[in-house]
Amino acid sequence: MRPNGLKLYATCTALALLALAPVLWPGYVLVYDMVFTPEQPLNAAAFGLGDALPRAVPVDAVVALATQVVPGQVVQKAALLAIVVAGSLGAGLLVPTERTGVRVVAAVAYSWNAYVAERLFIGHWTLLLGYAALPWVAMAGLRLRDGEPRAWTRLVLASLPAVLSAPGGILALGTALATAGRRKVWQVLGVSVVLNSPWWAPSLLHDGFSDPAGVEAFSARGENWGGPVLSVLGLGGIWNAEVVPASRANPVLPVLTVLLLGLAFLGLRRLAPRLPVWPLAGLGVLGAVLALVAVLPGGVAVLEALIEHVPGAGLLRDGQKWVAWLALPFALGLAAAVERFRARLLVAVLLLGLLPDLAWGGFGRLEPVRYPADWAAVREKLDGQPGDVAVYPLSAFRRFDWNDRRTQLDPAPRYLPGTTVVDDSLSVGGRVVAGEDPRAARLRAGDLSGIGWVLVERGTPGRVDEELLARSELVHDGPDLALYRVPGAVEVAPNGPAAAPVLLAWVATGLLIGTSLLWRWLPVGRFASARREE
Amino acid sequence: MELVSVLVAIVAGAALAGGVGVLVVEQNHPDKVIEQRIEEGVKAVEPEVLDYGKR
Repeated sequence: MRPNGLKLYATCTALALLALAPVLWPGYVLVYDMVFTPEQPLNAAAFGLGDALPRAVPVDAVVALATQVVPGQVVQKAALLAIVVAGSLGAGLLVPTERTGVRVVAAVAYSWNAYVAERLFIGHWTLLLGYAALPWVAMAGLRLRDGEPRAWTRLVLASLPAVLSAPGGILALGTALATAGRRKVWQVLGVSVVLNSPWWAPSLLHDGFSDPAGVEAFSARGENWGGPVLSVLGLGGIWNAEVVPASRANPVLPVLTVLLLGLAFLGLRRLAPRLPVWPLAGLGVLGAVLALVAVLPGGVAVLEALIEHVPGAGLLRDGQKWVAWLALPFALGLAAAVERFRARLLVAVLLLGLLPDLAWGGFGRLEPVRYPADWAAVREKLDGQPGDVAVYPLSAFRRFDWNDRRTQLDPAPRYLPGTTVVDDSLSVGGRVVAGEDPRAARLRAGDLSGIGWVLVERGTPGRVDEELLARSELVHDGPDLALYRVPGAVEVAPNGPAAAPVLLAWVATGLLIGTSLLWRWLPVGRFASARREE
Repeated sequence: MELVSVLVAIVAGAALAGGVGVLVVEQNHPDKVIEQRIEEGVKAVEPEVLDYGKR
């Protein structure tokens, strides 16, 4: 540990507790896209072999494996705390300085900002794990650039939290390329292609496209009089107004955003002789541009055309996520700029004060709740039974009384064993963005092929097909859930991508991770890399 | 000395966050918004397909 490391570690832990203390209470935080369950099923969809585009691969498989060992709520609490602790610590350690106060400024700037708050409140914890990994990926990239022995193993291990999701994997790739330099491009690309293969391999094998209507619905949004541009440059601007902290409407914020960015730029100039920061800054600008494309003239049309015709271009939807690349050069630059200030910690306090509503889990936004007993009862009844489960009402999101009527993703696919078919179309302000699961589309049209069970979630808005229920057999009737057996269910063959290439991707990734661990900690790696690489 | 500064900064930040946060919560607490919704009868006319969010 570095001489001043302890203070930095204490600060980062304090930051995490300040933001997330209520999350540590028993129960599950279920808000928008964040769903954790006691024991997530290890099914084909978790590995990218389901009917729908593999949007939660490989994170679903990793969480499913983890929850076989420890309860889901422990996994969730650990993941959420890791976002703030690892992100702030990484940013603090990345600054080439001996002054703890400077590191603290970088730590606060990186982990206490609108990006973290908004993505946390919308439940994008996987993306945020990737965000938290970026400073560590940058450190690994810099070591690779310096030709340090076994640096590639650091890059592999630092990238692991990021490659849990597709956007995280791309964020990590960009950061690694920017820090490792041109001479290491192929090494970085090789590592990234293999590590990200569990999501890109099944994605390529799917022939589905995202709905271009999502471009406008999920474009960056102005949070104050500064409009979308200054909101995004201030690391905010997420599309969903419901998850934006109230403090983002602060009328002074656009001015402070410009001042802080200016300060960060001056800091980067001071830092440049000690650290190759300009490629990182360039990446930050690229991230901001990608975040703003959809609000620039003609941007929507370009993105819609791309999404309609280019496989994988759906990743450009909700472009505000790419502004994550700006956060690291901003934090480093700001820290370097205040290096000569005597009262530099006041800058950290200012950053905390500008976003007070990230504290204490957003004062009620992130609050653990317990699943009603019905959920465990239904899971038990379905355990080992053939037939897939169709979930009603047909709506991707739920609002239950037992979760204070917060908007939350339907927990059924991650709670119940086997395969669950849910409606995956999204409504934004009443405008519907089509889903990507062909099976859900068939279910909406009344096609029950392969459906052996119907689950009705009670106490959430939406319509239930009463005719279907009338001809099904009621096997569980609880206050929160009702389960029906569909008579004469016909089995259907799985319609996911071919298993062999997906399996190969997983094996390749596992081999790379295993080799990195062995190479790093066993003597074989030390002998093989005894001298610095040329 | 530096540790003291860090702790002072954290406490000051927490105090500031708490102070302003109380005001923010007073105005925007999700529970309060929900209470208002119920009072206004919004719950009764909720749509069939729930919104992911609003712009």
